[in-house]
Amino acid sequence: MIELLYPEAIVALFAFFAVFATVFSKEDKGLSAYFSLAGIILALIYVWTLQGVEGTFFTFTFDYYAWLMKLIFLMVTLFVILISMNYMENREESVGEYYGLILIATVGMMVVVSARELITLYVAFETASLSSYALVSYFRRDKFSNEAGFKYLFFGAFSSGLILYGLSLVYGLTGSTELSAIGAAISAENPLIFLALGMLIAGFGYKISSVPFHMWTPDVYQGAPTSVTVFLSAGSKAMGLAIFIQVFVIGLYNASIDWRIVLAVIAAITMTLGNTVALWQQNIKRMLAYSSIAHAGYAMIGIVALSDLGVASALFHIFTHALMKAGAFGVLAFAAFKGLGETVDDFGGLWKKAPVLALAMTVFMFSLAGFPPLGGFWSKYWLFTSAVGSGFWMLALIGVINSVISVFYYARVIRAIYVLEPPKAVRVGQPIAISVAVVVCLIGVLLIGIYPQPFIDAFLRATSVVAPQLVP
Amino acid sequence: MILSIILLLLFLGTIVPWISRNDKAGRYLAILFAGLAVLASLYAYTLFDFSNTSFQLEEKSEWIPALGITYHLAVDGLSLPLVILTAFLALAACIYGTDENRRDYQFYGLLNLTCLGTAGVFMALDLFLFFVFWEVVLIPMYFLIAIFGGPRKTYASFKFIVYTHVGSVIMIIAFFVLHYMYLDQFGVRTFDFTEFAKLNVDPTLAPLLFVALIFGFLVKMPVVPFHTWLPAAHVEAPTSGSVLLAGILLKMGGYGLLRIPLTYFPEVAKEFAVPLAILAIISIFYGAFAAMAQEDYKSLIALSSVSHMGYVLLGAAALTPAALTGAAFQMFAHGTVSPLLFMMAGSLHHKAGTRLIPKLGGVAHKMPVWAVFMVAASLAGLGLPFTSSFVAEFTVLVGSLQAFNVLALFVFPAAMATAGYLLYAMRRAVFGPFNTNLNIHGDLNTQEFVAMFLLLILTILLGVYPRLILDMIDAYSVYFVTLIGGV
Repeated sequence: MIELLYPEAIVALFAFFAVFATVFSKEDKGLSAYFSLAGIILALIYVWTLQGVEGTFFTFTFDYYAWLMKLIFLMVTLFVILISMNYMENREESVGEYYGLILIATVGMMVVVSARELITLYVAFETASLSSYALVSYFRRDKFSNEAGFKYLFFGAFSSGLILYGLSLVYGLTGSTELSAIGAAISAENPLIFLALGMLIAGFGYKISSVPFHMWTPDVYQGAPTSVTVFLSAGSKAMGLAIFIQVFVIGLYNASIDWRIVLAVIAAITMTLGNTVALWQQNIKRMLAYSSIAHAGYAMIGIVALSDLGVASALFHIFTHALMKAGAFGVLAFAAFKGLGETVDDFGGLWKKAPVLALAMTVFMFSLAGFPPLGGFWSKYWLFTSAVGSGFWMLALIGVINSVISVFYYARVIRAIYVLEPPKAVRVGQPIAISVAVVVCLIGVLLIGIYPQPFIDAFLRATSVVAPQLVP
Repeated sequence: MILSIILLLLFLGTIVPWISRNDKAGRYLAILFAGLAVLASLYAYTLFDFSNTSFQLEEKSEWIPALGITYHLAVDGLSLPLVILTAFLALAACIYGTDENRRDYQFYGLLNLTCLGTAGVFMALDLFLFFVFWEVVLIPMYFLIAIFGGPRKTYASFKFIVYTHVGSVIMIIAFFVLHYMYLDQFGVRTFDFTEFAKLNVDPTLAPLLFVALIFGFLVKMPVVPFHTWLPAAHVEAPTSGSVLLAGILLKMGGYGLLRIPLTYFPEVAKEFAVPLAILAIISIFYGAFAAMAQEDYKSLIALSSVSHMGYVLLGAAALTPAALTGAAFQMFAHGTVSPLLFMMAGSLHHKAGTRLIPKLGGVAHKMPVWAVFMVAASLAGLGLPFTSSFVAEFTVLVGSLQAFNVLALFVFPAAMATAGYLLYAMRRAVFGPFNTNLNIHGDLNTQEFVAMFLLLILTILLGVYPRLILDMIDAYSVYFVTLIGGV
């Protein structure tokens, strides 16, 4: 069943094309971008035709869950490339390696969701992570980008170490690297399991930026090139949550009594800290970084609920969050590209400067705040419902209160866009590639909002495939 | 279909001006679609069967089956008059226009969007859909105040959104509690309004749910002590924004109160009748006496709204057929009179440059047409016979006298106070010798005249021949009272 690997192979191949394109034409920045765009679109089409296919190739598993998650990752990468096409235009840096690294990171993410075995999982995870360290510090003459890259690398390397120790302890406890075999052999009583769980929660917690492992997030999100921030918040975070679900729900399900409460507490603190700190931010990039932390907390509710609806809604939240954040950071990339600035006040009069992007940003903010009927409302709604269904009604209540708090900082952005009227607001051009990416995200958010049924059905089906033990 | 067509027309009235991005074209397009919505609502009126007390013109289709959420619209004698009122006010507000020529096309779109949300609230029979429309109203009204408002617009819009949003969150939590109770008892997921009436609610939980359900509505109405957002929002809002705020946004509170908590928890409502009636009488008094002390004409009218909406709460608390009829009719009556008064205040501000009563005087000398309308509107406001307010307030009083006896008599002094503040303000501002410090340029222009005339006609028409809508309201309230097992 080697053809199941073709999507990854296509993306990897085009990653090389993108790198080599700059060797042959140093001046033309478009060529690498078009190669990577072509690669992603081809892979998307190929993955789409694989709907319903199931199979394995050594440790590589392809099923409905992997199919769905690969589509999400490819979609995010598509947005990132579209946004980068404008964003990187005026930069002095060469773009070949940039696109190459994005595609290689995408390959890593795509393999992660097909991995049901620890070594494959870890190697794929590291492929994605190492590429993103380089991407964050890609603007090598920009000190903030360098600082961000260093922080990300430092924390990331530390968390990788923790994960590796944790996984090796799990292997030692169960004698297998297959997640399903681990699931069967794990026992909740062995004291060593606590050590393993602690390391895994900390390690993966870094990746999804849950409190108290979130310290790097605001600095890295703010310092990184904005197109890379899109990738981190929509792509890497989604991968982190996917891997969390795979390891904890498939592999460590039988030890859930040991980790559920811990994750519940972490989820509650993560939501609350993210939302309250975001209230004080003036820089929108930083504000959205804290909002990302808060949303990681929301998504963890689904894992804590540990029901089919819970896991499905966590995956659903990954998806809607990716759309909202890709769109919102896309608008920020536009602002950086046009030199408009990224503080709340800089967004004043955006409706006049760029009406379409301003409207899109408004919808993303409402959706992130959880106003019905938009995409963000539904995924949050199902998360809270699943928490109530599993008896964690406190967590749902904290989530609801957090949603109310979050309205205030998102509303500040909306208020700036439409209400503030700086005297010199003039129309600026809306670059085509960023606009396409943002409008697609906008349509996605509205579509999910108005008709969420097929989406939640798809995620429920994915859950039933990846975690059949949860289906009642 | 006709109900969806009304919503669609208002939606087009929002989107098309926005797309046109042209101030003049936006205005005419907004008027066009609002006018079509009025015609559609009148057509719905002709389709309505007066002898039938159940929901009519029903539309139902699946929306989100996973939660049992449906797209379910219907109207009855309570909601149809409010839908018609909404369409008329959309038209009147669009004709009346803006206070300042700035970002006009956005302004008209926001007016129609507000009406879209409000009309949806009145039509929705699925509580989730109801909530969605309820939230839809919040956003354009926030922008209307925050973008087009007066000097303290930031404060006013923020206060508006905090008060109403907290109310909405409590409301949606109560809806979800009902949803899960239904799932528990019947094993089916639904948000249908009529289905929830079958619930068998634990008597200890019922008062809690009742309070959670009415809280959001009391804030919206508003009832003292939750009214403080209203004067701020009204004074800062642009004139057309105030028209919609007073005309239909407050009615969402009154409508929600009559529709949802009273239907589900009539027994609890009977227990709470006296406290609610006392709240109502406090509101009637407080509004009237606070209005008397105002110097700004607009905040005077805003506080008179608090007073007038108190009658709605009084009628709802009494739960007799006559009182309910009066409450529902009062919503329509106040929905025409109060917007008219806000238009008067807005035009005064345009022409004289101030709304402060002490700075005015003898305005009638320079603005005779305006003065005629002002007298008519004030008389309608104080409930003169042959205006719709008279019919409404009289019916509420008759109905609540049956239920509360002596308690209801306390309302009469407040009714006199209403006459007092409106006439006193008029004497100082409109009549008497002309204040020569005033620089008044011109009388009403055509667009103001048409908008006011439209509302004045409605007021007098329903004062002279209230049966146009009174019959359907009455059929509803008689049926409703028998449904909940009498008083």
